[in-house]
Amino acid sequence: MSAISTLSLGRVFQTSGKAKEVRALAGVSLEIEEGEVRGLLGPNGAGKTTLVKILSTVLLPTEGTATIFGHDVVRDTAAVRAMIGIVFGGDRGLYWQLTARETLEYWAALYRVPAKETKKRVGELLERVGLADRADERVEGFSRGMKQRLHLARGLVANARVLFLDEPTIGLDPIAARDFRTLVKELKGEGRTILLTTHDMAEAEAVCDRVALIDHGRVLAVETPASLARLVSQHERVDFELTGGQEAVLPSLRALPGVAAVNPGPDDNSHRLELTDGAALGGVLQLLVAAGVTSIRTSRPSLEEVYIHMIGDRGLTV
Amino acid sequence: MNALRVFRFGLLVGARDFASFWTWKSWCGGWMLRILTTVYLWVLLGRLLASPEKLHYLTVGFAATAGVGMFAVAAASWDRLEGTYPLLVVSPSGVAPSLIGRMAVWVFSWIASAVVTFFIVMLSFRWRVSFAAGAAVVSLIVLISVSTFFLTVAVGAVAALAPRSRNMCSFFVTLSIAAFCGVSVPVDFWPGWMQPVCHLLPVTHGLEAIRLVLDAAEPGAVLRKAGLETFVGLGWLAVSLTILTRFADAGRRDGSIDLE
Amino acid sequence: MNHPLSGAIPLTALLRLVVATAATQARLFLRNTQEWTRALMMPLQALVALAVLVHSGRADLAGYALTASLLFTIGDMGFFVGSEIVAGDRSRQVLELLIATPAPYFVVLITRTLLVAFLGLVGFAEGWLIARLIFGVSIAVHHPWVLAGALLATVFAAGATAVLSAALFSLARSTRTLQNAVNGPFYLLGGILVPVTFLPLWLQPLSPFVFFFWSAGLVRDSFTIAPVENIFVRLTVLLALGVAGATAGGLVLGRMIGHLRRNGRLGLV
Repeated sequence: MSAISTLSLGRVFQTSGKAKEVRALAGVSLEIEEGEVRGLLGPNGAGKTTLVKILSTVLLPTEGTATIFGHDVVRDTAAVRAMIGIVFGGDRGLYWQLTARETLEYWAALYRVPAKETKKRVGELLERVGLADRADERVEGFSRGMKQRLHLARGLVANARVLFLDEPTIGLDPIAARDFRTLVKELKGEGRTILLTTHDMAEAEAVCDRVALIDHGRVLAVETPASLARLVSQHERVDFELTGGQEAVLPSLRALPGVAAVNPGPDDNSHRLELTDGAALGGVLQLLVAAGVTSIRTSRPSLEEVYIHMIGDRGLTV
Repeated sequence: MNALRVFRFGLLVGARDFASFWTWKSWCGGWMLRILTTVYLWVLLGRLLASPEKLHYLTVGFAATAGVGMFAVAAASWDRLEGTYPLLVVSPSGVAPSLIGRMAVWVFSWIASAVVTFFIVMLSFRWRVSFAAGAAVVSLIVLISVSTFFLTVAVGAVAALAPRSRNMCSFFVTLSIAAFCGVSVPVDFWPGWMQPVCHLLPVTHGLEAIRLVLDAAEPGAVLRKAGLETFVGLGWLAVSLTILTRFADAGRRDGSIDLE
Repeated sequence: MNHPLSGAIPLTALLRLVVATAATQARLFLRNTQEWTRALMMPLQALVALAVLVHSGRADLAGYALTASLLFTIGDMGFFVGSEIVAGDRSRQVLELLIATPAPYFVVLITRTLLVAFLGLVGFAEGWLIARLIFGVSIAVHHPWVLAGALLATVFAAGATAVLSAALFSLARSTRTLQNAVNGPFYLLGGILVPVTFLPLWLQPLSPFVFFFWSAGLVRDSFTIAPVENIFVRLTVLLALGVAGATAGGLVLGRMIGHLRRNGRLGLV
């Protein structure tokens, strides 16, 4: 049985604007196995949070079905709620007047964690997320990173089998985000199923087993991060920088069999060479070295490139 | 001149604040219903005391000051809460014209509340007010509202340092008006040491002027009281401008002005 | 990993939820300056009432001012603090997290509103102290058990009714607009300062539907020497109005949450 399963899940919102209806989700069918970390990648308004809300029983779907370990999110709400934890990002979802410990103790009561177990579990969670020495300080004094860790601890207080992480690293500095990802990997190691919505490509590549690209309420692709990269380019690319006089190598490169294109790169003097045949890589490298080029790097397409390639460049439109 | 321009924009922001609280319907139906019922709540003490004089005294006091002093103090804190305060401080115009403009919108609500309440309540008890007296009362209500406004600017400037105290500060303004400015009891009811303080508060002299008008006193006496009310109001204006400037400077020194 | 859930909540878990929620609400209240200062500020209105009475040589009516002090405070706790609970949870984006837990939100909400109403009892103590310390007037309680019953029943009625106002206010475009509109009429009709017999005749039939009316009558009577009449009936009506408020509140809340789940936002239409 899949941990999370949706079949043709859809959600339409009624609006008072010009468009009477907004389709936030359309025909979303996903299977997420137990212990998997699935990323949900998409721009603002793609439907990521809508999907999380349906799966966490806060919102009803208008079409299709969704189950958590076989329990329908509409009909078996109580059973579903006992199995899930929700982790927000940012400042939302916390009572600033409570301390970290009080927040977790309260949520333990809401999740019917037996009184005898609460103190111990709360202590362990605070230790685990690195808040043990700040446990009795109020949330209002916490940094963004600390709040995020408290969110995660709160999501774990009922020992949830399934966790929904809704943009959990938004606004975090790189070190805090990295620490958070480490925690997520630990949770995966415990066999928990995690659905992670994010804009952060590095995060998706670092922690997700598979990534679903979503846009306009539809799932565009579900693949491992590496497989997604192959959607943009099957082979490695070669990035290199030319200094004075080395431009002469460019026509020779373009003429090599297996080379698709050589285009200017984002920086001055940088270039990117795309291959159609991986076997041509050796020849390309030999030519560059012979020309005296020293700044050479090979890479595969990043998730960001996949994202932009598939979803498109919207500029600042959200 | 630029201060006036900034003041007008502050007024615009204040008008939008007002519109987020009240539509015309909800102001007339909801707000005025609250104001009228609250005034009657207090005024009926006169009936409990079986005293027509007390009933008249309370009616004039509470009706003429109905709604005066509310919301403006809280409005002084909204720039802090919204994060625009530091931007105002560092602007060449400073914080005063914008803040005062934003708060000033509520004066119009006070004037409207008090004028409407005064005539409704007076008529409900069948006390007639001549046209001339009515015009004088309206003018004095405007004067009271403006002088109270300058007090609220001073209080608001203090409240803006600790935005969480804004509602408490606002309450103390309205309570002080009701208790110490001759609204519910004459000023001389309070201990001797308090009376000079009462005379330095807005409303005290202006309300006395209103009572003189209704008693058909000679115009000179009314004008003297109105003059004192004006003087008190201008004094609070000076105090409020001083506080605003000093606090902005202090904030820059002690780093209490956040950029986030 | 989790213990299994049935639809019904076991009694021990329910009690634990109530205790934990009450403790949390107490912390939220006491650590929110704006809220606990309200509880201390509202009774100061007794100052104005007592000044009028004492100035008129009627310190014997000080019980009226004390009654008003209590009901202003409990009323404020209900209309302003209790009623903001849902709107506050919504603005902090905690509401959806609470709904997604196994805990019934109605139980969470009524526990919080009852606690807040209970804290409003400070209005009685503070009003009594104002009368004593500032005006030298000692208000004797001639029927302490009547007073105790009236206070507890008032707390229940106020907290229960606040569930209804909390649910309704959370739907409003601006909670502040509603809060600033409703309290005046309720206080006047309830006769919290002056008995409703001094209101116009055409208004008086509305008063018995407002729980303040029954509270004010019982509390004022507890200060008088004369025997208090119909105690049981009056207390029962007061409690019944609270039950009615809670029932209506529960129904509105259920519809509201259903609406939230169906439409992704709060609203009844």
